[in-house]
Amino acid sequence: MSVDLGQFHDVFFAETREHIQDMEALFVSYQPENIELESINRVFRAAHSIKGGSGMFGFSALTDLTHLMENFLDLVRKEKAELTSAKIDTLLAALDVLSVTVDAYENNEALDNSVISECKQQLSHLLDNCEHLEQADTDFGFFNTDDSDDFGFFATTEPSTDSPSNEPHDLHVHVATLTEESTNISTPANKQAMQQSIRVNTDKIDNLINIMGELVIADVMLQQVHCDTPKEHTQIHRALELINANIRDMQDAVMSMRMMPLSFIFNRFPRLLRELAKELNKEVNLDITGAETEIDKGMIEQLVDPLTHLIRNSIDHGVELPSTREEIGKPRSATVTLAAQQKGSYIYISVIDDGMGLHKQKILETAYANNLIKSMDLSDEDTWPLILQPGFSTATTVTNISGRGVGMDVVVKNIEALGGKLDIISESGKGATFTIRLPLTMAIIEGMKVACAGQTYIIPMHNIVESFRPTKEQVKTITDDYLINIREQYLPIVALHDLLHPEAYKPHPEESIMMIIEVGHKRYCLHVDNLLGQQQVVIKSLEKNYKAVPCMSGATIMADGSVAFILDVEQLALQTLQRTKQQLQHEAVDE
Amino acid sequence: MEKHILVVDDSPSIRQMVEVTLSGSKYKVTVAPDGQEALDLCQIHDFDFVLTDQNMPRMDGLTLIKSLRKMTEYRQKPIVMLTTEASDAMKAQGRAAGATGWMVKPFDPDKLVMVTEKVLSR
Repeated sequence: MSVDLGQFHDVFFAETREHIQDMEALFVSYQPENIELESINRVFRAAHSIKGGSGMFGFSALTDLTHLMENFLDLVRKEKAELTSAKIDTLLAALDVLSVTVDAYENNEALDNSVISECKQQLSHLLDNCEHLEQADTDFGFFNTDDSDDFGFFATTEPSTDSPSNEPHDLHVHVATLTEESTNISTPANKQAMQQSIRVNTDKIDNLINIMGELVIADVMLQQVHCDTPKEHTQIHRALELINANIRDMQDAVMSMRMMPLSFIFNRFPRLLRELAKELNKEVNLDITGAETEIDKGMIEQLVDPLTHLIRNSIDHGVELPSTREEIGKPRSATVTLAAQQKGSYIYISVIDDGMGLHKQKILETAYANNLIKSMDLSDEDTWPLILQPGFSTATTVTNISGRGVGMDVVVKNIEALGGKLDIISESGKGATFTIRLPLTMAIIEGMKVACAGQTYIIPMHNIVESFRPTKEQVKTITDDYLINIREQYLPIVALHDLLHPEAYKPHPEESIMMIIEVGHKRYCLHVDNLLGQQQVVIKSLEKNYKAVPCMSGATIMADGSVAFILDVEQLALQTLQRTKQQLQHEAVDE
Repeated sequence: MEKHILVVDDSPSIRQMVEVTLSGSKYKVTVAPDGQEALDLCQIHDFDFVLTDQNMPRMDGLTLIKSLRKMTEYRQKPIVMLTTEASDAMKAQGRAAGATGWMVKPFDPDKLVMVTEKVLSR
């Protein structure tokens, strides 16, 4: 009989990544003056597990690397080697090599043998320095076991079935250390026991979410029936209410399966911070709060780049040098806080620093020089968003850290792709706060139903600033285009009719509804016939079920079973802009 | 009657590999991620054979073996230790704790089946 070992590889890769992350977190938080035996034991076990698994499945490069790490960590936990900051750097570098090697094995790519052997050399170097020590210590340990103290302790824990052994001395040493370990291990046991879990393929969960989506749609239809059923059918009403309540609960439960704690990505930032601070000669502490906040698995990976960028920014531009901080009466070490929390149906993630804050004058000058603003007289709230514009950078010298050719505009773009928003608060001399606001899930959104030329469309609620019926005085015409004056600000009007139903009757702006739509930091007014109300909508992909449709980000099924499109408000704005440009060009040619 | 085997290892991939291999050889298999859970399972089930890793969180293999040997039902049952190093010191520890035998990791599925058959036919 032969068993195909390949079927276990995915599980092995997943568990190995977890171990690597775990080790990294422990190394980064490691403080030489405050050694916790359990932490060292955990990293040792992680290295040991990877070694065991990789040996079993034939990933020999991983076995070799973790074998060396394990040997060294074994010495550390037996207090025969010291874990210095430099050694942690070597181990962290080795973890990087491990990660890359796992990726290579998983994707069936060639291994980078030069990097691996270099890393092995570095790791053996750690051992070279200690092997000597170990020899001396073992000898010493031998003597130690003859102490009556050690023997007494051992005797009480020894099971009755003790069989005679040829090496009593050796035995004493090892069993004694092991018992010591197991008492240490018992502390986090309760915590682990609370969180029992099984691994489930994400495809299965996504499938469940899809079915859940269908069920929500069916439920909306049922609730319509509910309304139409005469009052005297009490049983039907009771049943329908019960179904509705249970479906809502089930929706929450199913959605929570895709949720992962933010600690999953927060855990990598201590290391980033450590390296950045070192490189820039700054002293920074990282404070993490709310790492247990859960977020959709699909979003979590997309957050790494924006958050990395924001943290880099804070340390590079926000935090002052330790000497400067002392001069102005701040503690030498700056604090960067990474905070997450859930409020209502949004997740808020903030990067807060206690540095110098944003430089208003400099921002205004740069914006003015780049023609982004006409006047330098701007409020704080209007000034900060300027740094999010494409190509904006006030840094006088491009540093290796933030100056990577990626501006804040890219950060904003990434966040918006997730349906989120970025807000900035800054106080000169005290620090800056960058807050990302994200919807809880991307599969179901709060939408506003609007009517245009007899069709129903959905607009995501998070893009809508306000809706109103304009007065005649508010509407202005320039050539063929309408503008709307709202609180002394002119916004272009985008008429849904022009884009989607050019042949249909388009009512005058003052006879219809205007919605102020915000995309990024740009606003425009969307002209629709009427508002039909707010509703939770399950997003269905058009590409998957039909084909991509311009200006539509998806579709949903309404209570009556009909299909409604979800508008892509960003594309709508772009389309209109292009059309206007073309028109202007035509007009120029005509003249 | 089909023999019931308890497999104890903190690595999910190894657990799965052992489980699939032994189930495929007509054994009934139960798995546990650490010594403590294994010990709890042993209170409820009457396993014919326990195969345990050494290095695990919460409770390691040696402690598990020692605890099992104190239980009347498990005083005579075969218990095999999985270990990455077959050093004399390790073997001595295993023997002292009361293990029946040891098996070195890594092993392949065929060897696992062979060892299991040997242990159960004793």
